[in-house]
Amino acid sequence: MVELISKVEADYVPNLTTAARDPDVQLIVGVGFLLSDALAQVAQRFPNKNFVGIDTFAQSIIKEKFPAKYPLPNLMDIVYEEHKGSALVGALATLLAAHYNKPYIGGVFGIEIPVLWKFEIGYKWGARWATEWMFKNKPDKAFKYRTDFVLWTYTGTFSDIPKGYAAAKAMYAKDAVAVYNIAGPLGLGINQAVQEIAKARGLKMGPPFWIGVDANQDWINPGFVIASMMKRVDKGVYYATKFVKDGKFRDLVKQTKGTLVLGIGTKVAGELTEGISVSTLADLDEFIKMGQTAEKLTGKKVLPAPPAEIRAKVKAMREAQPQWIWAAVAELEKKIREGTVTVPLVLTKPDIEKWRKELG
Amino acid sequence: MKARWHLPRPLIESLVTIFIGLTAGALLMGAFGYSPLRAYQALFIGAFGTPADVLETIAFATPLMLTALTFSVGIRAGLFNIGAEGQMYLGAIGTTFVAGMVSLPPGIHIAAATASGMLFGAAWAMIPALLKVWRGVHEVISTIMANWIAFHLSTYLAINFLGDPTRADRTVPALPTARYPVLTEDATLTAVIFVAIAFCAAIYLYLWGTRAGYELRLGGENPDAARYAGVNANRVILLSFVIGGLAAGLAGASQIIGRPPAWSLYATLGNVATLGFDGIGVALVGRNHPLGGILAAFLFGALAHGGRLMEYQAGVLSELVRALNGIIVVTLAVPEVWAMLRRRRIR
Amino acid sequence: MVGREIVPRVSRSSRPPGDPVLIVRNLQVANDQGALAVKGISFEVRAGEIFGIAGVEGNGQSELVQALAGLRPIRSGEISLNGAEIKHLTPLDLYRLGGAHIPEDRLRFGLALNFDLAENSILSRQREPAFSTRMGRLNWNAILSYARQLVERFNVLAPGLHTPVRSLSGGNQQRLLVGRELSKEPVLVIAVHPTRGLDIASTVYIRELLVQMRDEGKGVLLVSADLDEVLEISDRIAVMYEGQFIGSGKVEELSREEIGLMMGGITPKGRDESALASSPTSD
Repeated sequence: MVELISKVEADYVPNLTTAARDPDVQLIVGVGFLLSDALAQVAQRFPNKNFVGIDTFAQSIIKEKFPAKYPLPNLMDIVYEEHKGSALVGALATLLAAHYNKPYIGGVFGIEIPVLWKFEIGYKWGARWATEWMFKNKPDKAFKYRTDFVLWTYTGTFSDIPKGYAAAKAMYAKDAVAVYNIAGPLGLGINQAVQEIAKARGLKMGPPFWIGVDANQDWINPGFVIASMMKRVDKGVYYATKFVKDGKFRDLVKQTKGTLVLGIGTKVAGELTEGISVSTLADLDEFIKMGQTAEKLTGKKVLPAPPAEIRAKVKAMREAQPQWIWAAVAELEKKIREGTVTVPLVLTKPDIEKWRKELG
Repeated sequence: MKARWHLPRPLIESLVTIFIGLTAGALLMGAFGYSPLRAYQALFIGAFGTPADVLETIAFATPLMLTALTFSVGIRAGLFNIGAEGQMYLGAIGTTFVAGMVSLPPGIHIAAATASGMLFGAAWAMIPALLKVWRGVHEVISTIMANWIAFHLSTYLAINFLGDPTRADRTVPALPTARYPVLTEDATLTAVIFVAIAFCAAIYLYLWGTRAGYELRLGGENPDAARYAGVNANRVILLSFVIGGLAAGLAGASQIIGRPPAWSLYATLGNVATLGFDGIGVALVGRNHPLGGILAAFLFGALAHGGRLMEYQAGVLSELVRALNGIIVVTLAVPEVWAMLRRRRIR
Repeated sequence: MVGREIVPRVSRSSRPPGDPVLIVRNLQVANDQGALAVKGISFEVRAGEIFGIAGVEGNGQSELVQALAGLRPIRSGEISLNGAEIKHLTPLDLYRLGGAHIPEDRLRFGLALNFDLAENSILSRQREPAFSTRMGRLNWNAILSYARQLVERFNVLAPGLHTPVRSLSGGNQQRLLVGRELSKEPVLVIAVHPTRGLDIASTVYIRELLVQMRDEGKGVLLVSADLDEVLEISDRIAVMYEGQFIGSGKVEELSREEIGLMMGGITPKGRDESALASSPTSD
């Protein structure tokens, strides 16, 4: 495997071209929705190579611009149902708020680009679902959903960690029970805000909590990361590689019209191929193992504590929460899987305006 | 106009420092266990190996020669205009608006979209210029602040007013009538390169061939002598910011209507971000000369495009590729910064 | 001064001066700190005479000249140049009305060191129609031939017209500057420390040029800290002390010693300011 990191958007096409020109390369994976146009262009120029985009919509570009070629046989977009995962953690945070009698939950976002809208609305929708669930199942602790219940901030950055800290600090100051990190490294800033409170009050575990995103971030501060909304990019690349090795890639492109959706209960050719979930203890073990490997390779400390201790702390934190909370989240997941509820997928300006009016 | 070549000596100096920079880069790579020879071979082949690569190198150079011009004209006028970044964002916005939301006949559309970007860039440059003229605000502070404001303003405009309703990640694309023709399918270079070079050449002729250019350079070279010569200092400030803004605006325009495949502005501004700051290094290497900037931009384009093959073939980590770029830039910048400091001390 | 014995004297014709080209009345000028540096000075410079201002540096000479050259605002008083009353003088007004200015610090005001010789030859003349068109294009052919002329006429030693002025010697820099100013065909030349720091040949040459200007009927205002220079080529002399003229008179009426005392702030007996500041009675 050869890796090329794009420093700027203008690198996309040349980077993909460089990889495609290499005669030994069979599969080229472009990671990130911004590569869509570049993938659509380069895949056409190299029909013998296979291209995969993570989070991309290159096939829809082909459909729009070159309808005769759609779907391009050597191109597969892999997309994830982040809105569903966000709904699950939104519900989790809300149930925690109910349990601990806290007035708010929070979300710290990066730059306000439309791809984050599905996280935002998914999270808020899950929160509202949870308040309704409470009325049916735990009426003594139930409260009505308010449009100011979810505190949310677009920090305007994906890299400036202190901004994540400042945003989260304000939320915890209002006594938010948990803050969802939708800004990558800014999670470290959120963690710092939590850490300060934990230190001041001598806490061993939350509340307050925060919620990880993309990877399993539960290990970063065991006891204070209630869970992570996991989006398994690794699985997407794994599936794609497997399809190419098994010689099924182009058939599957034809079957799926070139777009593979990985989410909750998603299937390809009858096989379950999921990519979105709320982290579990088992996931944590997998990530701890990755951390150990990384420590071996780099010789640097990656994990904040010995693996057994991390695991024990996370386990204790999870067990300290009432069982009905986890059950309710599982119920929502089941309903999403069955299709008895539909999490809104917000991609456009009119949609976000409409949903913000409804959910705050 | 008589030939007035100032280039040769600075050119030789620049070539020597390029050599020093590459040598230092080789030592660095050697220290990390890479083969410098293999790496530089890959760098060269990557940048110039095929005609398509040469064109791609030039495509990377296109916006850089313009943002370098912004900085150069500022320095020539004695101003530290580091606002190319923000002026370029606004240029991209101005171009996107005309290219994507206005219908015009072919030909006119390209010209109008280009002009709109340049005017937006110049208009944004007027903020620090007027702050300097009216309130004496130092341009370094005001341009840095204007860059940040431009970033958030442009992101906001890109999403809320120029957003593509069918695409969450970017603005409406430029209509086909507003796009510069792609020169070859194998590279992302378009005819906008000719506009960029023509603009740099025009500014060169303006600075050295007109009274206003003479006065602008005099104002930067020796403000007291400029006063003695009856030059209006405020006029010099405004003029240099306007030219710089036009150049940065054109740089922004070039990435919207002159660079496939997106033909639009990403909502993250990702396809224009950092080009303005990169221009400062290019300007230093080009000795703050509009034509030197073109040559320096080619060099930077070669590093940017050739670097990927270095990374790919020689396995040099991308961080090290970037460090190498940095070393060469710093080495190249040293004589110019040194000269600027010396000039300041003498005064 | 080392040069006193060595520098050959400059010969000059004796002829009566003409009408005043510069009239200054009750001029007040502030320094950079806002304090009054020129405290109500009045004088005239006539056509065909050199009016020398002697004095220890820092007694307001710089502020006085900068005000006359349009580089510093005046606080009060009147300036009349070549018959025109001027309230807010700018450098361009000075040049337009026939003034030339050899500034005290050639490196600060008079030249742009990194500009080449040709570019420096039109510094302050760049707007003249001979050098730039109405559309604002520089006429390089005219500029280069003019620069070549300057180099030849004023014996500027330089490798070429595109040599940066930085690499010329001080004497050649000053020859270029003086030549440029004198070739403006001025009616009034303001020269400040015109030979400071120069080699003997250049010093003599520039003094000769100033005297030649006088002989051609131009008014010359000479400000110099070099008393010998002032004594040697001036027709009339005023001594500036603490922002005022402490004494003045025809060069032949004043002794070196008297002037020296006045430079130190001591007014010789029998001379008071009002008598000395009045214009000479040569007519």
